[in-house]
Amino acid sequence: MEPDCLTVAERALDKLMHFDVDFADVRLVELKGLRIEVVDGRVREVRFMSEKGLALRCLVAGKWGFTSTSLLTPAEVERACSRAYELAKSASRGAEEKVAPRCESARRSSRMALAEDPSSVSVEEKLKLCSEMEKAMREASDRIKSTSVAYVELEERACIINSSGLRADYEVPSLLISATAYASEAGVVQRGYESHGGTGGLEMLKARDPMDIAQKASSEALELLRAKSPPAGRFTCILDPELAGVFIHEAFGHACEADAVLQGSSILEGMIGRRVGSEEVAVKDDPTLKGLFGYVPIDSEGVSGGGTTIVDRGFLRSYLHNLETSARMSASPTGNARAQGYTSIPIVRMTNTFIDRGSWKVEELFQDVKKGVYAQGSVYGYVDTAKGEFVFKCSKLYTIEGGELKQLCRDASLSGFTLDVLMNVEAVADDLSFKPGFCGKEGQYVRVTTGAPHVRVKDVVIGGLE
Amino acid sequence: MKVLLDLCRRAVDEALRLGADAADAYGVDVELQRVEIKKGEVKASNFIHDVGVGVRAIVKGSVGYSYAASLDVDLRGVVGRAVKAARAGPPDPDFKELPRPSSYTSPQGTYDDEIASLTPEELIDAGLSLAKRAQADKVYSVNIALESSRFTRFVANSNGVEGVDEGTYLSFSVYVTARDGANMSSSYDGDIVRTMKDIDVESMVARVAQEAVEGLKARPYKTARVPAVFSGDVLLAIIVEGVASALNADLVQRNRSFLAARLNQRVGVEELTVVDDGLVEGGPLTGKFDVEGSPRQRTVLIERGVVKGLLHNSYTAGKAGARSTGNASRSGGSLDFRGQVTIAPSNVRVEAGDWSLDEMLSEVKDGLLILNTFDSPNIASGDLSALIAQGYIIEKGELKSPVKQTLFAINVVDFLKGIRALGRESSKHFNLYSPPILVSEVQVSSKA
Repeated sequence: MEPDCLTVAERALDKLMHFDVDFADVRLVELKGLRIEVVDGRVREVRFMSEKGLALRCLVAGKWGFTSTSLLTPAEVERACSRAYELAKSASRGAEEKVAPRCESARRSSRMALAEDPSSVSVEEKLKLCSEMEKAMREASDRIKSTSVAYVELEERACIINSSGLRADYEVPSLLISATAYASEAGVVQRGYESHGGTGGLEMLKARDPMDIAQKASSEALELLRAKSPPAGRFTCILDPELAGVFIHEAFGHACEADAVLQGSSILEGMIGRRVGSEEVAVKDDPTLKGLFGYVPIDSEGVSGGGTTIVDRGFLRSYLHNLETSARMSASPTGNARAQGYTSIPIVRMTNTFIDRGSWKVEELFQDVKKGVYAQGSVYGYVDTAKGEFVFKCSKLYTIEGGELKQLCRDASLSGFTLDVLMNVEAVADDLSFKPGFCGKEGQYVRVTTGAPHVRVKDVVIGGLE
Repeated sequence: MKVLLDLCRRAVDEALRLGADAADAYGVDVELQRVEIKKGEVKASNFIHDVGVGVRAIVKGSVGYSYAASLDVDLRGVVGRAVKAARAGPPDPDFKELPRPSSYTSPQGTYDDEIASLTPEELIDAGLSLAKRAQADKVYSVNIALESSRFTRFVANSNGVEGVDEGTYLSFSVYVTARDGANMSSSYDGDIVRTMKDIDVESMVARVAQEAVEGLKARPYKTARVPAVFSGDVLLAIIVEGVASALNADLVQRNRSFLAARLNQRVGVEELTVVDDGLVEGGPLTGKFDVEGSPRQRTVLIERGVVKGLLHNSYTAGKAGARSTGNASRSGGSLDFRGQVTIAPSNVRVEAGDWSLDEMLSEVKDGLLILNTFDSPNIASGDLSALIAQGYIIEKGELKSPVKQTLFAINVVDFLKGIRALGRESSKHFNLYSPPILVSEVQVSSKA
């Protein structure tokens, strides 16, 4: 972070601390990026992103006041500080609570070394790569009718300082490339999608051939043309790593977010130390995994989380925290406070969340399934953390009979109940892998990674048309 | 306010000076206050001022984007990046032109002084008193978010289009959980309106609290094909996302929509008419113009069961030799100046029929009343399989237990063709105005 930015932040914090606040923090965020999208042989978008702004927060008697501003002149910043305090003060009318986030005075800084800096390659070259991928999909078959490729690179820098003496700053570059293909035959239209990305620079595109990303999207769309509607009912289900990753994020992860617990909307409230899953199950959230899309070396409150074991051998061990929830629940902060940008307040979010590897071989999972389904890939998922009801949609699904894959199906929803699912996990394989994605909560979207090995779960409800 | 319009004009001039063939600028100035009540207590009071200009430069049909998220910016740098971005792409012969100047209708009910002058204290007091109203036996937590905002949007382009539009929003959401031992249930609702008189938050809160408590007795239904009455938010998934969004001209031109080949074909019953209406009084997406400066208008999408219209922005209209229907949006909605120009429905209206809700229910011997889901259909295939977030079992025409852990699945065309009755009373759910709809048969699956 440039020195003048730090000065702006320091000046704002000084101003906030002149008021009668229990805690205050200032976050200066700078975002730079490029987005390219190529559709059906035409360029739909080349967009440069660039912005900078200040997020100001203070706590008075347990109530937050928050403002943000992109006008960084001393007068504007001063006005925003006064407003943040006024908001907190008016929110705290009649309140006497003295909960202040516990936070050590520390200095921390994190910068990611880039093997290949995206700014060293021209926009035209990146556009050329997208066009080549898009063309490869189009030319894969005459049944491929429409294709698109999107490329996004972002560089996020922030400096966070607070009234406990914390001074933190970080720079995290990230990159995501995705391919979408639509195939059509006899009036049926189907979609295939694949993405690849993480934190870091263009070296990521060397780790996986971009043409392979394109190929996977077009072959999935073509394959789905011959898919049938899925059966409806209750089945033993084998989830592939991509879907199992979304499954653990949705079915379980959100209910472990401590803000949901404190606001009385998590079915996992009061369950720490209780058995929530079979012996086979270990679930982790680890922001330190460098290179993964959900890498968060320093969170939006300046905390560096070391990784959290959420479930160990089937027992619920920890929730995910920010400074406030950890203070209220007498736990340690876990580095899970994240805000989408300077206009958003940090809330508890997941980072890289995954089911840890188990001891089964993938083929062993299939062997004793007499009748079941094998679900692959994820379209989306969500959960109602209070009811514990979740649903997630897979890209494709095969019926299994006598351990063998039979009919390919599409558009299946899988649903279950948070307190049952991990108990119903019968087997976890040893082939852990990760997938980048975005997670939405309270209108804020952040980059995350979901991960898992192949997992076998009994009693999953499949919603199908047949 | 004058500053931002001036900035838009200067951005367009600068883009032309730097060699763009055409350019537009979309400015937004929004002030938003938000109050969060968690477990019955104030948690946070926020004020966000977001202001900026999105610039599009066009060189030989190739579009380049950039934006400034502040008034205090190097305009030349921002516009320069948009022109550079436009030059990076190859020519696009499908681009015809940006909108030309036309007169704007000033719709009613889009600005309310009462909302514009709400203070944070008033929002907090309203939130706390609503949270108290929701308290009842077995109610465990009440979470409320209240948000008031006022905005001004500006548009200018190189054809001489210029526009200014002001408005207000009040958005409200309530999430109530109920608990009985280890048994937990929840209910949610929310809405967004332009004027205070358009929302009755008190009844909404009371109903949501009641649904949460009743939900403690919810049970899984069964796996079967049954008739169902659809009412409320669930119709957003089917009508707005499944029908109006599938008639997005871009998706149709690219054959990405299940309705692509069905223009002028029958897709629903004779009684079904669906209209996109960007001018409806007080509609959440009502305005003088869309994000490109094309006037908002009324577009018939389905008339008496037959697909009649598509939603266009200037690009798809140019490609099809049609006129823009004023449905240009940005990826983050109509107050987004950062994102890509896309196409989105405005307010969607389903014409009412002549059935009362009781008459519709009494037609159902064994089936469901489905009120909410958070799922959306696959636009390529039209298939929707969705978890019922709020719904009731109907037995012999009477509402019985609420359902849980139950999914329904139907193809949108089968839904539209399977309509047996349309209610006579419409209600508003975000940007949808629709009566309840009785459908002959849906596939339902559950654990039971």
